[in-house]
Amino acid sequence: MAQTFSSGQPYEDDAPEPAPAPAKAESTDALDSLLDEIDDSLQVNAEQFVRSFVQKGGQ
Amino acid sequence: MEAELGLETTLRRPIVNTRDEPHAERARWRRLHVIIGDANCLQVPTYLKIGTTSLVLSAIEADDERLDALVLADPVSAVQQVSHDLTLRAALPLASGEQATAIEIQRALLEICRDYASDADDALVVARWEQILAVLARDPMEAAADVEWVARLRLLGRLRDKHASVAADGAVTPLAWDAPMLAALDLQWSRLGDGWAARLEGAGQTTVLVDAQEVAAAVTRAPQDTRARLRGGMVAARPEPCRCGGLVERGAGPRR
Repeated sequence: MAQTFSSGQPYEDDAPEPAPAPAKAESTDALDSLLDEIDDSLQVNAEQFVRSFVQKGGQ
Repeated sequence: MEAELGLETTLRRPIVNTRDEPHAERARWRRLHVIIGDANCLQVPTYLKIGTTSLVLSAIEADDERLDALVLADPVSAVQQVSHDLTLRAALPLASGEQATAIEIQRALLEICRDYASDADDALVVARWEQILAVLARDPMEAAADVEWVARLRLLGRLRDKHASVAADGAVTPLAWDAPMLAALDLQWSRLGDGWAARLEGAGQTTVLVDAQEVAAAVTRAPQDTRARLRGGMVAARPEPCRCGGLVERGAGPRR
């Protein structure tokens, strides 16, 4: 029954070290394209979004 | 954070919410609703928050006297102070009259908690906790994959640099902190599903502890030893919205 919990390797392995970082260039590229996405999403309507933002939820 | 204890969650935010509604058999379970860090999205912060809280609770239950030396004089103002201290060097007043930095307090807590680690899972929590404290002590910005405020600050910093203005004399000025774009990024950081924290994780910039396929599978098949199993089953059996959701569930018999 504990199927969903027992992947056998919930964490990388027994070592606490984080997974080795991807190659530097590749990682920087991914961050750069995320920054481009942020630009596309926010450059036009950021001000309006911030003005109209209403906190929802909270339990 | 505005209070140590309270019933609210979004207003007058307390560090600990006192509503003791265990959603389980009352005789066996109590609820500890920790509000602090409840908006964390990244995996390592969530893992450490739950893992370290569990170890600290074990130390409290054992009445470990070493904890007494770590009591803060004013927890709420300490949280506010630490949240504004990007160097992590602020000295926080302790109830004993001494002072300690957040990292010193965490290191002392870690040494206590080490004695309560009772299985391999606990040992992994302690090891990762120790490793991240070491990184934070060296240079907080190195912890961008594992510590959420650092990840967020790094992303904001990159955006500020991307939109820097260059003066005639070549002087470069990053985008001002009050730019609406930065505020919007900040507000959208923890939006569920497609918030920037999730996108940062998707871009491979954060440490991932749980396999993405496992997460996707759990969306439709809840872990079978949680109350999410019952909730998920009920929603699947009766998918139309029901205004009394929580109440119906409460009448549905024993669960964990």
